[in-house]
Amino acid sequence: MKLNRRDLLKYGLGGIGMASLPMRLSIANPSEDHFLFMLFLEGGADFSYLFDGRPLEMTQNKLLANRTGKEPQLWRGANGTSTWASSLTSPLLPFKNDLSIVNGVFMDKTFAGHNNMIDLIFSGNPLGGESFLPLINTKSLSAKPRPLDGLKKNGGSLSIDPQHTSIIELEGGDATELILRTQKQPLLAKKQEAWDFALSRMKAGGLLDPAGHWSQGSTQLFNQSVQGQALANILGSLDMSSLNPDVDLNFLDLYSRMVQKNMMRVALEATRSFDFATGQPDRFMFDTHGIQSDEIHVKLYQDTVDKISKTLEYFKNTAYDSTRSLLDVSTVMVATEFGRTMRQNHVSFEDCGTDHNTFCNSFLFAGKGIRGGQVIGASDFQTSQEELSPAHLLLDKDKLNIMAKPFDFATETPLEVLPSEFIEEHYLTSGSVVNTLFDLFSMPKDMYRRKNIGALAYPSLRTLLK
Amino acid sequence: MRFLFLNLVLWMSVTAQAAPAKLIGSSALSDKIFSRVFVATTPAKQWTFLDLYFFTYPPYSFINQIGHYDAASFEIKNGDPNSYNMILLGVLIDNISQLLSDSCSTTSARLQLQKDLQPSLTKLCAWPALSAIDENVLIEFFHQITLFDYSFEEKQAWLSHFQHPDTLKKTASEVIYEMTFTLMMNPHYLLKK
Repeated sequence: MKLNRRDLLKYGLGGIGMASLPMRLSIANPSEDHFLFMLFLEGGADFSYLFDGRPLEMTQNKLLANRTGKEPQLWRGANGTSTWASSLTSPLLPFKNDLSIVNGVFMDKTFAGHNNMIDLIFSGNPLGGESFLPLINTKSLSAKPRPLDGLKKNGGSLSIDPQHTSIIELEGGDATELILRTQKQPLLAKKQEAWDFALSRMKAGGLLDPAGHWSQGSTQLFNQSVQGQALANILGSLDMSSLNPDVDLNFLDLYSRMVQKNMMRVALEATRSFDFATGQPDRFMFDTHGIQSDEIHVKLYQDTVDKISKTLEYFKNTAYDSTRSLLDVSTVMVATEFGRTMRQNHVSFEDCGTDHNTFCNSFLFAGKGIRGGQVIGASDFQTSQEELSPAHLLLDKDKLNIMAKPFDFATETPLEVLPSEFIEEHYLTSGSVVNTLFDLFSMPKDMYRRKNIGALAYPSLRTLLK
Repeated sequence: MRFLFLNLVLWMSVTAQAAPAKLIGSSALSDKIFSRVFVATTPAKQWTFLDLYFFTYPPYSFINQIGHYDAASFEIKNGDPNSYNMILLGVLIDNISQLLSDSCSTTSARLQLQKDLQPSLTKLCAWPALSAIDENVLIEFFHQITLFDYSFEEKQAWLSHFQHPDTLKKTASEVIYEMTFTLMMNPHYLLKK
């Protein structure tokens, strides 16, 4: 058979998008099925309402502006470390064996802004950089990249997208709209010849001057158009008819279907609480600088616990395939940019809110690769009578903050010592938390967080990993 | 000194080679579409006009995903082609191509074509009549969409493709769709030079 120019297009370039589709869908190696779901409590959550509680006497002695009015319960970790869990956390008791708590994470002593600390978590630099989230898809050594790096809900204000240009993210609402659009307006049906010619010109552009700026862009345009066609096909094949109408479950349904189709590796959901004053969702409901009624304050954390509980329940009860639940293949992480001060200075205790505390933060983990039921790290100022270290008082002379306790990285236990000076290397930091995730997702070693170029990587938390 | 200067030039050229060209971004793309194809409406209405209301209307944020200028950092964000923004560009260009191809058979009050485009489009609507397949008609349409942005080789490749005898078997609507789509879904149209 003699092939003419059109046939060459048809059989050569043509159908490249379709050809790549089975390749994408064929990622069936079960060990590669590992996804990250991050719930981000944006605004800086106060973990004294969650898993870094304090006895009621701290409030009675006007040190801690916590409005629960109840004694916390002791939450014992299977690894021997305990913490006080606020009474509000009781809905999470059924998940005690799944959930691990990382307390006493020192964030930074220089910067205290929301974006600085969000940047520190996502990029490793308080002044911004490339987020690790899409890199889990593109750089992981344990799995082939999926066509989409991630799915995101309410994360527009997080600085993970404007910092750089290679992230592919879909707002929850956008994703639904885009999926419906790809179903209504198939990009390939009856239009393959136009696509093929367009692709052939992109490819030709790439060959003009392969090392050149424009040709490289043209090659990227070609590669990503092929990927885009594959992605459009998968999006178009998603069953959107029975998504849960509940706004939270709707996003989880979408996540579930997209990972089942092997479309992506990561999802990020930033929490939005309802602002009673404006009637609008508010990204900074956790940022409680001003006074709020006790009821609103308590409800905020009740809602947060409900949200975490609902998320874990969904992951546990939703089948990923015939043998595994969504939780079996997903690592679930709950994070916030920093903790909160115990009260505000120069404001009467009855009227005070709380400010940013970057000396202590907490994270929660569950799911694939996570050894559940652990409590790792701890914070100081556990009682009003506790003697604080000179290192603490150097950073916090007004005693407004709780602070991470020094951490023994060999045994991965908090140290009961009172250091005279602050040395960051003696504390658990977000670098260790992120490097633990990097271990989980087999990220290249040169990507691991470190204090300076040439320094050793922050140690990963082995206790947290199975 | 000259040696240092030459090294600097060499280093700059190597550095420049390292970064692939980015997408031109939503604003420049909008300028192209509304100066060459359609009559400009207000910026807020432009994407709605293209049946892409969801590009800009809250709570959606697609407009930022196809590249947008960030005044704070003086650069185009989300400007690297990726699978997601290529779908969005595919949807956008598919819509435009469809609007032009429909113009032969329907009259829409919504469709306000640039006056220089209308004559060549009217001629193309007679496809495959001789008056439509004339090379000058194709060139006229090519230039109206591309505004001489493309290389000579690109123009030749495009003309050669649409002058192929197989193309004569297609309807005017199909050909106009393909002509528009291939001119816009092209690195010369989409990439920053």
